[in-house]
This record gives sequence, C-alpha cells and structure tokens, in this order.
Amino acid sequence: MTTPFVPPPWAFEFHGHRCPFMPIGYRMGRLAMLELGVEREQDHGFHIFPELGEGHPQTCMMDGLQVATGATYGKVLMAKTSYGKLAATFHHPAKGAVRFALTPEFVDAMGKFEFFAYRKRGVEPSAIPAAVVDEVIAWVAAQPDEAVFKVERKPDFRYTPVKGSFAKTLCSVCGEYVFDRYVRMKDGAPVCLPCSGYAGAAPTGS
Amino acid sequence: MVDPKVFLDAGLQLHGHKCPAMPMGLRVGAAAMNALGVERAQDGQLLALVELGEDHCATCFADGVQTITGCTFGKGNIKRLHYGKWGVTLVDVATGRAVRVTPKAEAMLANKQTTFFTEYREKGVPASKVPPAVVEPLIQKVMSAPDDRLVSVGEIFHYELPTKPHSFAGVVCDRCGEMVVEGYARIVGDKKVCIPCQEQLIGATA
Repeated sequence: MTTPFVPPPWAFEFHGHRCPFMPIGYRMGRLAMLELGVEREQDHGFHIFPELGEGHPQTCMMDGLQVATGATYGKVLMAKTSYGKLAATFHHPAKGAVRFALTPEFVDAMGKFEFFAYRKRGVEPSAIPAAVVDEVIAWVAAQPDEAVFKVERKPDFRYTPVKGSFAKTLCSVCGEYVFDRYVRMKDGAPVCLPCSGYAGAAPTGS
Repeated sequence: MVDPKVFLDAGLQLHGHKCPAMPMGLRVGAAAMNALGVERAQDGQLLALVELGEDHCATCFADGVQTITGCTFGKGNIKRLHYGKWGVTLVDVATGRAVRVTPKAEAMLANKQTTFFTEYREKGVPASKVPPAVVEPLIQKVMSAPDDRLVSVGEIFHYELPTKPHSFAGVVCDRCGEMVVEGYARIVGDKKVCIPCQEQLIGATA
C-alpha cells in the first residue's frame, strides 16, 4: 500500500527541503481531517495541539500539518504542548477531537534508514543526497496507516488547567529538592532544570 | 533580490484566506532578506523572531514571514516574542548578522481603517467570507507600495545565537508505551513517563 496522502510540490517548497517528517505530518493531518469530517480550515475554527517540543528533529511534521489542514502558525491554530512526543490532537468545536501518535515500532524502523545517519552527523536535510532522502520518503509512504499511526478518539478532550501537586524529588546532581513537574531525566537519573543543562530558548532580540 | 510578488500565491495557498496581514508579512520578510542579502532558508539557515503575540488581529502576518523566509514553525526557526507588535528580526545563523524590519505605523493604520476591518472583521465576519472586491484591492495595495512607504529597515547588527544541539535520544513511556524525547521524559516513583502520563499519575496521588 502507498498512501494517497502525499504532499503536493508546493508543500516541499514551503518547507524548504525534502525529509520524511513533513510528509508524515501532511498524511497525519489529512487522515485526521477525514476522521473528523472537516475541510481544510480557511479561517480560525480548527485547532491542532502537537505534542512536539524543541531541540529534536521530528518537528518538521508540523509544517506538513499546517499545509494539510490550514491550521497555521500565523492564524494561531497550532499550539505545541511541548511534551516531546510524536503525536498531535486535532480539535474542531462541532466535530470533536482525535489524537494521532506515531507508533514506536514505526519510529524505530524508520530510524534505521541512512537519512538519519546523516542527520546524526549534523548534516542538514538539504545537503543529504537526494537518493538517500527519497529512499526513506518512499518507504514511509508505503507503510500502512495502522503501522504508522495509533488513532484515538478523544470524546472528553477539553482545555485542562495544570493540576497542583506537593510531590517533590531530590536532584541527583545538586541534592536540592525540585517539584516533580519540573524534574528532568539525565543519564537515567532525576535532575533539576539547571542541572539538566537546559537553557530556555528566551531570545531577546533588540 | 527576493521579490515578494513571486510568493503571493504560495502564501495564499498556505494561509487559506485573503487578508492584508499575510502579504504584509511577505513584504517585511522580503525587506529583511534583501537587507541581509540572504536566500530563503532551506533548513535552519535563517532565524525569524516575530514580535507578535497570540491574542490580537493580524497574527496572519506570521504566515507571510514563514512563506517568504522559509523560517517555519515545523523547522522551529520562527519564534514569537509576544510583544504584540509586527516587527521581525531576521538572523543569518551562520554569521549572526541580523536586521530588524517593521511595517510603518501609517501603513498598519491605513489597513485598519479600511472596510475590510471596520465593516467585516471587527463585526465578526471570517476573512474567507469578506467579498473579494473588498479585500483584493487591499492586498494589491500592500503588495505594490514602495518599500520606503511601507517598512522601516534597521541597521544591520550582530545577534548572539544560543547553541543547542538536537537530541536524538528517546525512551518509551512506562505508562502509555509511546516514544518520548529523553529530555521531556519525567520520573514518577520508579517509572519513566511522558508529561501527560505524569500529570495523570500526580493527579491520582495528590
């Protein structure tokens, strides 16, 4: 099987390079629209909550989501939850919500392609040989939907405020307490944010 | 030199409706690229810092910036500064050369005083439902105004970029079985979990 949901050429032009993740996002977006029974959003009536964060390479998915659904960054219809997961929830006020996640098996199998050997060496996608890029894009397109995506209807989906908690953990590096929501993992041990090496994006501009 | 007119159709296709803000993003983005003498970013060659917030009119501007600069939400090289303004700082990542460009207040005011806003958008009519005869002259005006009437281009300056390598490490959440980037994984008791599962577990024990 090869998916019918292949991005049009202008999607690759918009994105700027060829890679496997933009097409995955495009396909996820089209499938989610089918699942919810919605058309491409012209105005401001449809939201996507991608669970991706920053500092990992799969975020290109979100350009495919923008192109497919019309829920664009400019229209403020896409809000990252920054869970660092390869998933997104699609919500239409009249049609409900559905969540799509990439299966770990699919992610692991895709990771074996040569494309990622280049990426891990720091080669930008536009500088990777076309044959290497096309190989992984074609393989992804040939995988059945059910192998790529876990799909769940979210009948109870709504905005939920953060729950308060008193739970805390000792940071394994500095030995100070940190509230559990902010505990990070480094080399398998719990650490606080400064000890994790995390530096917020916080651009200052001029 | 980058010609914003070449990108108008692509921008409209991505954006989904006709409005003057997306074209303004094309113009400001083009002026910044031409000031720096840079090409559209295929990967992360450019960084765009947009001063927009999320809860005001004309955020559509950012879709024009995405389209022309190649700084896209998916690639993570466009960031909101939440100033509620329309300035854009464009950074050439390899050299740190940067420039801030902003639409002139007179141009923004002139747009706001048109019937597109006063008779339609401010009365809650979605942009896609505004008659073409109302919006198309507005787009043409933005696209054809000379640079010195439309935008202010700042001096070129050096922008210090934080360096943050991409993480390829991932773990499988012990609760939901989905993949999560290591830095986003959380520890609850003896389990490594993703953020939503952490919220659920903390909620259950709080």
